[in-house]
Amino acid sequence: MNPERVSEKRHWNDFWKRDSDVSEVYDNENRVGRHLSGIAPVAGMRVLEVGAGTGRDGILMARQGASVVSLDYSPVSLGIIGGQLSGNDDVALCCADAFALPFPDATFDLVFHQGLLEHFRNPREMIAEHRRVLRDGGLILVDVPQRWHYYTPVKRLLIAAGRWFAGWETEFSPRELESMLAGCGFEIVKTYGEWLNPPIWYRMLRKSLIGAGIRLPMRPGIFALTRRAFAPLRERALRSRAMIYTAVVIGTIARKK
Amino acid sequence: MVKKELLDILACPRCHEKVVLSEDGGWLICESCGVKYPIEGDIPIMLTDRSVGIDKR
Repeated sequence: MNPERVSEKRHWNDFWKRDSDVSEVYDNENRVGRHLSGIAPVAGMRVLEVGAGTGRDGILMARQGASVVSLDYSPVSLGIIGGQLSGNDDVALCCADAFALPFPDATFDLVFHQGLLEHFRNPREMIAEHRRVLRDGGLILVDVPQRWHYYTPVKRLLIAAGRWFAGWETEFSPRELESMLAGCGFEIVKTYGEWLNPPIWYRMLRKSLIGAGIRLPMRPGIFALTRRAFAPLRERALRSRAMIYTAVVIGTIARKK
Repeated sequence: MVKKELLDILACPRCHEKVVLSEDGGWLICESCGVKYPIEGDIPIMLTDRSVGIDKR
C-alpha cells in the first residue's frame, strides 16, 4: 500500500459491509447523468465508472444505452452492484486500483467518478491514469465535495478526532478542481454545484442516530415540500458561478485535449 | 463468466498489454509480465498484489 493513501481498502470494505442495503444509501438523484445530458448523450458510449460504490450511476447509463464498466477496489462494493443488475444490463464488474487501471490507452469515451478523488493525497496521479484510458476528445466527470461548505470544518473535526469513516478526505473549490484538470491536459467544459436534499446536516444526524438505535426517515416530508417550493429559485441560483461556491458538492466535466 | 465485452478490453495493470483467459477460465494471463490475475465469482481481480507468477500454475 502506498503510504500516502490513507483512505484504505479496509475503510471501503467496512463501509459497504455496513451499508450493504442500497436503499439506505442516499442516491445522488442522477446528478452525473443530468449534468452530462446537455453535453453528450451516453447512448453508444463506452463508459468507465471508477470507485463505483453502489454503481447506481453506471447502471442508469447502461439503461440509456451505454456500455459500462463498474470498477471498484472493494469486492464488497462489486457484490452490491452485481445484486442490482438485471440480465440485460450492459454493466461489467472489475476489481482494480484507480491508480493502475487494467485497460489499454484510449479505451473509453467517458470516465467518471463521484466521491472518489477526495480520498487520495495524490489526485493528479489518479487523473493522469484516467486520462490515459480516455480516447482523444473523450470526457471526464469528476464529482467531489466543495471546499467552502460548512461540511468541510465538520469533516475536519471528525477526521482529527479519528471518527471519519474513510480515514481521510479533502475537498476542492470549483477553481481548484478546474485548475487541476486543466493542468492534467483537459479542456474544461462545465462546472456544476449542487446542494443536497435532505441536507448534509440531516444525513449526518440520521447516520449518527442510527448508531444510537434511533432511525429517522430517509427523506422526511418537510424536505420534499421545501424542495418543490424552492426548485425554480434553486435552479436559477446554481447557474451563478458565485453560488457554486456555496454548494456541498461540485463536479467538473472536461474533455481530453 | 466474465462478460465478453470486458474480456475484449482488459489489460495488465502493469504493462497495459492485453490479457488472455486461461484454459480453465479461472485466470487472466499477461504473457508480457509473466503473471496471471485471478477471476473470483466472475469478477476479474486486476490488482498487482493479487497477481501470481505464471510458473506457479
